[in-house]
Amino acid sequence: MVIAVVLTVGKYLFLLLVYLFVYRVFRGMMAELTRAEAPQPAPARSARAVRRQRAAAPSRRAREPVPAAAATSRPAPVPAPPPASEPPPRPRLVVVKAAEDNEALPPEIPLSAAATIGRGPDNSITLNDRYVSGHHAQIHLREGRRFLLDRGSTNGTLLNGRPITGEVEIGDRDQISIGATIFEYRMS
Amino acid sequence: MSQARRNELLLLLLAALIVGLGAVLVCLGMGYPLWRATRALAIVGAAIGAAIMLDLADPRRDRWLLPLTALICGVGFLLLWQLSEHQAARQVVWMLTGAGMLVAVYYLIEDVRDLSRLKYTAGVGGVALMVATMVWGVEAGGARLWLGIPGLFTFQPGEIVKVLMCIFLAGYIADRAELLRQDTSRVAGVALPRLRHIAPLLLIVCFALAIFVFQRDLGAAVLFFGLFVAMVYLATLRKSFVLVALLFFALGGVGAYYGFHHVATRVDMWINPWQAPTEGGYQILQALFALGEGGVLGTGFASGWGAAMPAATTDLIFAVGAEQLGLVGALGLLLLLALVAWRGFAIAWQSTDRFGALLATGLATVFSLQTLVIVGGVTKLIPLTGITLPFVSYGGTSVVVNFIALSLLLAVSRDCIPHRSDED
Repeated sequence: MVIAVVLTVGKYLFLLLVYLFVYRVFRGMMAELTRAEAPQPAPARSARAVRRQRAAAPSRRAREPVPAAAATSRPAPVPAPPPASEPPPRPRLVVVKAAEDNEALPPEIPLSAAATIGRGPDNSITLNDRYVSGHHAQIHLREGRRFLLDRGSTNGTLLNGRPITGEVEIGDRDQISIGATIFEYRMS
Repeated sequence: MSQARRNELLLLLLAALIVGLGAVLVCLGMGYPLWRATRALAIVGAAIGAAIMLDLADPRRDRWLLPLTALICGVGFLLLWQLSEHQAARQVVWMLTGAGMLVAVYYLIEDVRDLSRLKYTAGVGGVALMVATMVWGVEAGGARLWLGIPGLFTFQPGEIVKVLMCIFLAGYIADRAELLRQDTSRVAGVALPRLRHIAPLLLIVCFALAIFVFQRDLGAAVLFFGLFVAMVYLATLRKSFVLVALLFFALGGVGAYYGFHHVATRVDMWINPWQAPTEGGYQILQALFALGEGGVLGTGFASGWGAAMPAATTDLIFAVGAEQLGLVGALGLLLLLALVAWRGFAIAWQSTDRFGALLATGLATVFSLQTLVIVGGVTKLIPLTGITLPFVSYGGTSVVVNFIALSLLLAVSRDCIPHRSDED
């Protein structure tokens, strides 16, 4: 019967096309995810999106960073060099949120070539916070770039909401969470 | 046109081709007049229309979910069409409604964070709906799962409650993630979030679970529990919590087995359905027969005994698909569903907003768990439960609510990194 043959051939064709679809989506999604590792330039946005972004900007500081979901942190995008007419760069940590009992912490902490952060008194930045380890983290300068390093702390160090493993480069406006304190790294 | 947009359109066209081919085959096999095959294309057409309308609002969104959903819906329609033309026609209406709701919700929600403010409303609303269903629900098949006026308009609040609970849990946990993660107390040598942070959450979850089990909606109970565990784990990253939760689940399961008769029946039928092949075990046995009949490559469209199975269009729709399309086809459908789930989790991972990430995780978890539970039940991997296969099973509320959940995922994907660098 002709119809039986058509149905059978059609069935195989149908299954083949479904798997072709699956394959195309799978390949596309994988390509997109691997491309995600490299920093992307900011796109042109629709008017609505720009309006939304502006409205959200004032609350961006108060907005909590992403939950600690990723196992590895993504390196921060390389920041643009400061324009020549701007004041000279003053690398520093701005304290966005100080933990309780840390009122003595200055609102801004200038950064030198190396700064250690932790609960112990031998750190350059001492935090009085029981969720902070004795030697929690450090920020050091190398080849003109700054890196954040977790020194094996118990509760981890977050960069823009994601826990870091090992050493990660930080860029302007990156948020660093250590215990209940949130710092923002500023280059100028 | 940008690369991403072109991909989406190509995939949608491919979906149209696949569904169209399937529709022609169904018509040939079932003896329908060929022009009716165009009905199947209504679904993909709606998806294309939705894609265009969504781009008018905000083109920075995920490009994979719509084509995947369109194809899944199309395949579901093809299966339903052979089982019951009447139900298939109604399903198309629901899918079109769903597509409309997709666009509407996407437009309405300018910023996903606005939803976070509605978290308590969502939570209370969800609980209220559950209680209302328990008290005023309409009975169907021994369980009160429907609300409304029979004969006129009924819907399954359980589906809506799932999404509402996602919003509530995401909002609540997002606010307290730091506290849940760091403020812990040691219980039996294990670090768990301190009770006062998690107590309101536990109360609501226990209450909801109690209602679900009492309502004999075991699938929903498992779903909800899994959702709760996944989201708290995402916020706290404490595996200890997951282990403790699984322990409670095991204990609860054993308790339910000895405490509730209907639970015991389900589990017994899972272990050995041949004890009662014409009563309790009938459904699962028919499903297994269908799977066997399908073999590797299936019996093809317009064949097989699918229509003879109980609940063929709802609980056992996957078995119908496996019979007609075989192992290969069933795996293909599962892969499509898995890709949707993966995309949901990818959106959560790439989201720049905590609430958005949690919401996406919740929705993706519910979707995945739902699929796993029903497919697992149909294949006798786990006891059979009466939940729907998303986008495939016949059920208006399920389809529309899943489209709304899809819309929420698309809304969250607007704030994702990496931003598409090639938008027009």
